[in-house]
Amino acid sequence: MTILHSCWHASHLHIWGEVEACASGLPDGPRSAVAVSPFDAGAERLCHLLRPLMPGTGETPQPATLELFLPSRAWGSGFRPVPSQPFFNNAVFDGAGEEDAPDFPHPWRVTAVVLPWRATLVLLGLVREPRLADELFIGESLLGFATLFRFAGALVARGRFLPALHRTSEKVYEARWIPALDAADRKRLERLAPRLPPAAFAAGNGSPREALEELVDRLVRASVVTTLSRAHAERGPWYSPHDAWFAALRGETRQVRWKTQAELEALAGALRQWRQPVESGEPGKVPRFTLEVPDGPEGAWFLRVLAEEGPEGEVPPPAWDAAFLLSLGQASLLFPPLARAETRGGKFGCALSEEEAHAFLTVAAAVLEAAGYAVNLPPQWRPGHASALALEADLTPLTGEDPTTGTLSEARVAVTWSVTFNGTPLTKEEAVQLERAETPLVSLRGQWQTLDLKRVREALRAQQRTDTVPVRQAVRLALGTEPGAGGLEIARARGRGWLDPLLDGLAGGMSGMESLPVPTGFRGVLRPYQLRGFRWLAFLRAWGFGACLADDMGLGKTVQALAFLLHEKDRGERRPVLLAGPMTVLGSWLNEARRFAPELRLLLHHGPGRAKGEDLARAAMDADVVVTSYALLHRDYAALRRIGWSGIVLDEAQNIKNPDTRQARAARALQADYRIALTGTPMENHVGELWSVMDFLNPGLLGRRAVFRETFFRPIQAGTDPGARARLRRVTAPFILRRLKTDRRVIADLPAKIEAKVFCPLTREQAELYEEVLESFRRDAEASEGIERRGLILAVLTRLKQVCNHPAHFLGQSENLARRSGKLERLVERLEEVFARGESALVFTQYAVMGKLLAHHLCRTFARETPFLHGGLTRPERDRMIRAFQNGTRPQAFVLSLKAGGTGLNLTRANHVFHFDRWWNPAVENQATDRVFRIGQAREVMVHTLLCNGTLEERIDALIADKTGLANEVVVSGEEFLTGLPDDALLEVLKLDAEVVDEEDAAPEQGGWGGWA
Amino acid sequence: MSKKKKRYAARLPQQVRGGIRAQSAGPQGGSTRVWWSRRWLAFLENYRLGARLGRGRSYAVAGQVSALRVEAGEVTAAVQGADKAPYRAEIRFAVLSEAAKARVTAALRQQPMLLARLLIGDLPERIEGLLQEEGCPLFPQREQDLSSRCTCPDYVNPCKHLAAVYCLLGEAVTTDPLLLLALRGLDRVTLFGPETPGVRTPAEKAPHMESVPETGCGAAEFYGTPQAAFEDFGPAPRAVLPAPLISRLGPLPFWRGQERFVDTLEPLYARAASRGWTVWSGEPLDLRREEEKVILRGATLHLKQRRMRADPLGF
Repeated sequence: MTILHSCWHASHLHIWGEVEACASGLPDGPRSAVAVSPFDAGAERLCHLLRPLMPGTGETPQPATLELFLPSRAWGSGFRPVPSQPFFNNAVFDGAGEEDAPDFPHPWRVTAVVLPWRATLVLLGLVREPRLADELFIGESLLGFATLFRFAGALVARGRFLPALHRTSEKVYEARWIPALDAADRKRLERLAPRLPPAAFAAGNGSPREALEELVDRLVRASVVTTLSRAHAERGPWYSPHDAWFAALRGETRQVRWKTQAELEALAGALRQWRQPVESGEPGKVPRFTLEVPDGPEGAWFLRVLAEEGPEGEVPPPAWDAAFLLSLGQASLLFPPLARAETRGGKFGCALSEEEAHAFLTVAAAVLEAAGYAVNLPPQWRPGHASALALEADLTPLTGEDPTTGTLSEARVAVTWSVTFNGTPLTKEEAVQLERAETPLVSLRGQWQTLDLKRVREALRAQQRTDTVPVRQAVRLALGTEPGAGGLEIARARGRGWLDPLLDGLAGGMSGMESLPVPTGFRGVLRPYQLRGFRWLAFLRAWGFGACLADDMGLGKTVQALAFLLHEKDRGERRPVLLAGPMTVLGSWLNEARRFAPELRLLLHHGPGRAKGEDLARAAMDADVVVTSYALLHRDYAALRRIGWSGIVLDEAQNIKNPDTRQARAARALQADYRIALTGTPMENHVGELWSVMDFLNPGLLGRRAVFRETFFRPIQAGTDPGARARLRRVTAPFILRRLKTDRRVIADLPAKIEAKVFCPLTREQAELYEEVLESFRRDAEASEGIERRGLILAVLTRLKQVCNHPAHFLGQSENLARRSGKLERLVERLEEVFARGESALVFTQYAVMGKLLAHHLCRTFARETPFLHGGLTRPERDRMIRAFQNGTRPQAFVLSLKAGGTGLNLTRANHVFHFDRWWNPAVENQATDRVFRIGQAREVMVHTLLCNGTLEERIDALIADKTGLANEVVVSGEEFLTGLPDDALLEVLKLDAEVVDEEDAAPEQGGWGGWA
Repeated sequence: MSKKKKRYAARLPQQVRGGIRAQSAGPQGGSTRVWWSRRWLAFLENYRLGARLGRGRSYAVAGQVSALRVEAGEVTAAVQGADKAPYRAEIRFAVLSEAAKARVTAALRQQPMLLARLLIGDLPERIEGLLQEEGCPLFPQREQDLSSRCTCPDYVNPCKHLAAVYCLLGEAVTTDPLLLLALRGLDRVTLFGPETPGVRTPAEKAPHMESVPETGCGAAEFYGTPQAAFEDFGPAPRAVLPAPLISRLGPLPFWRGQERFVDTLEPLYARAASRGWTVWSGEPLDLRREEEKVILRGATLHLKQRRMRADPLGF
């Protein structure tokens, strides 16, 4: 495990790594010479970690040694650096008894690498979170530089940079692209600077500003250098220092090669002078423009010039200040009427004709703003202000019948338009006024508007006629994804006939489906909100729309989907449905389907023995649902696409969030009548992911990817258009149903404690170990009796449970935990969701060894402290641990041994409880659950019980649930009751009958920037 | 080498590359785009130059003038002639009296827009009237309005070297009419007061942090603690100009490059801006150069053709 830190040094970003202490223990710190930090990652490891950033370029990272003053602490007779994360290396200071000793800076040597600049930029663009890959974390210093890099990107995107010539040493001049910061950007940089902790500049030089300048130059350079320009910058010929400088701006190296230093100095001076109006940016030196609306019919438009940040109503203070006047003159080039500016009636500015005012409003204001001037417009012209003139659409279907039976795409709809102003229809006089308007600047109901007269007239003409459109276009009009007549925005759409329930349903009313009964084959009771979810799925399916059921974890997405699938079968659907999910949830589906919808015939398409080609097609035709994993969606695509699916259901649909991954492409490419996505992760926060899922559900609804990127993704990601998010929500809301446990209005009948059984598969390694243990037990059990047999049974139970927990638990290992246990993988997946909601969790296990493994793995997976409370702790240690957890601010997991943590503790910060393994005694388990379910718990509590499919865990659980006499015995005596069973009954409980996760099958592609390492 | 050849060679001016080249080789040897350069040409043509005007213009176009300096009432230039060392050419103009300068300056400050336009290379005609009233016309009209000399062996004054300087001056005033006023003693300092120093760029300041961090800096503080994402990166760009700042500042004065200044920079800005957007919105950054992408593009196209779409409602 490595944490990457970074440090600005000598105009380069140096990356160094921190690792755990070596197993052999640490040497005591040095006394005199600067020693290598005992936690230094070393060049080899760093290069290995960072190599994926430089594919095929042949470039290699340059190792360098840095001397840094790191916070250190006394240790024995010397010092030792303090680990950067409290969870990291916590063993190092355990028991040292110097917890309270202050940290002090002490010089250490660390190995750093300097990546080629292109690789550095890729890395900075990549890191957004503390965790980059398995066992690879990003320190705040590097995250800070990544934020700074985004700021550099914003400056470059806005064109706020200029070419310059810097003298960097006695005789060296360098061509640079430098940021041109105005007052607002300087403030942004000031606010951003604290994101760079002292570690970022620990090498003793550099500043946020310097780093920003370097990043802007490197980013621009990476964009403008071509093979030709690079060669020209290196070889010339140049005929003047200007040529040499111009070439160096587009070269790989920045040095300007020109023989006469005096000429370069003169050019540098000329460039400074040239840039000065933009760079000075001091208050009072940049003009600011305010457009004043005529105050009466006789009034005139007036563009007023003031000094920026000067008090309102003041003529530019030092009227002869060269910087101010130069800026003003430059503005007059961008908007020529300004050349007439003069002082009139105490105000400095120029009167504008209507044409000029219109030109200012539509073009010049934006141009001036882009060039760095402040422009103040009346509110109706500010960006993001909705147009007051809009349309209302009246949609009447031309086919009388409800076409849900399959002719929907052929149905046509008549559209009539009416033009409204601020929500009320235009009067006849107003329409006439608009028809006759000569300039696009119109005063309507006392409010000035700039109108595209051509479009407005087209919309006005459209009022007289009726358009006929296909039903799909009508839906798009109603959703606002398509503009109306004349390109005007549609403020409201009304549906008639059968369109009314459709539009109403899309708006959340779901008319027509209110009374849909639960299918008769459904075993169980749907809660009211689940019934609603089921009907919602049926409603969207009836109209051929894709649906995303995004209910909170624990609200029963699976049962809603099962009820829907039964309903489809009842309607007479004979074609199969394809259900894909991560390998870890497939077992759950089989179990839940058996329990709630036994009528459904499920076919598991998985594993090396799965049917291929024609066999698969035949087998699928006999099934209602074919269950498969994401990995196979792509791998068996050729066979899957030949089957006529009635629908495709994706569970944990966030697996297709990256549209470029194989499984996402395969999911989109498969043909089906309807599509459903199930996910518990809120998607609305991740705009890019939303596109991928929505494009799977309703292809084309959000437009092509490139268009979506420009209209939604970038404005939302960059935070530049507050309206974009709302527009996106309006379009997607009809197809996403997300209920939260906290939403009591929707989910009134939810118990305060939700219990969920989480079925997990075994990995191949686990399955093999399980069989081995069982085999040796069979041999031994035959020859044993009485006490001996009893001991054997208890021992095999423990071993099997260890195997189910983790192979490392059974084998007594402590390293390499990832991807070897289905349970652990599932736990990590669930915790990810818990943490994403900002909540904390307790994880109980009955084995101290497993607890240690869990704490170790979880802390490394999530890069947060994961305490482990067990019987071996002293009282003060326990108290400190509990206090730290209760007072923590970040979502956290707390591992507890069932015996030590089962009673007497108050851990109400967590509202999730995971039982990693079973005690088989509900009383003990409930007692543990009560740690969070106590006075002071404000939220609902969710209990996740992890069980391995097809193993003793599942079967004993079923025995308890059976509520027979046997169950009572279990409850009373725990596992002991098994010792009383005859051999064949016992083996029936213990046997392995499970689908297995193949490691290569199990992992869907992470794609792109997520899984590079 | 024969004597004859030597004499012949000596008559040709030494070649100069990277000198100040007249950018417009029109028939007049200067731009006639603006009214004041037409007036300057009129003055030149009335100035008994004859054939030397043409020679001077050739010098100006070839870039034989390697330095040109304009100060209040005075122009000095280095012109590369046949000699190895460039000749030094000087022109002195009659300047306004101090009292007249004060009057003109005061009148200009009454109308800030006149000064603003001067600063961006425009010459409002009203200014000529102001100077005429002070008896010091903007364009030399009489013998005593100026005097000139050159270090060349030519006994005629003005010589072709001076003619080259006149030609370049004519071009210079086209883009910077303030020079015309400077020739009359009204330089920038007089008009605008002493130059306010611009903000120095921090790279020049080279700020250095304390080389040893303060004592008592704990690990959490030193390495930083997790914070909410920083989101304020400024307003969205409005796609109205490819390079807004370049449009605002205009080309670098006395540009000597072979490529045109603004036309070359604008496409560079557009390319950089699109990369900037990628970084800003957090998309993965692809920094391969265009030529490295060609192979990939072929592969992508191939994939696209294979990709099919299911489309229940035909969106």
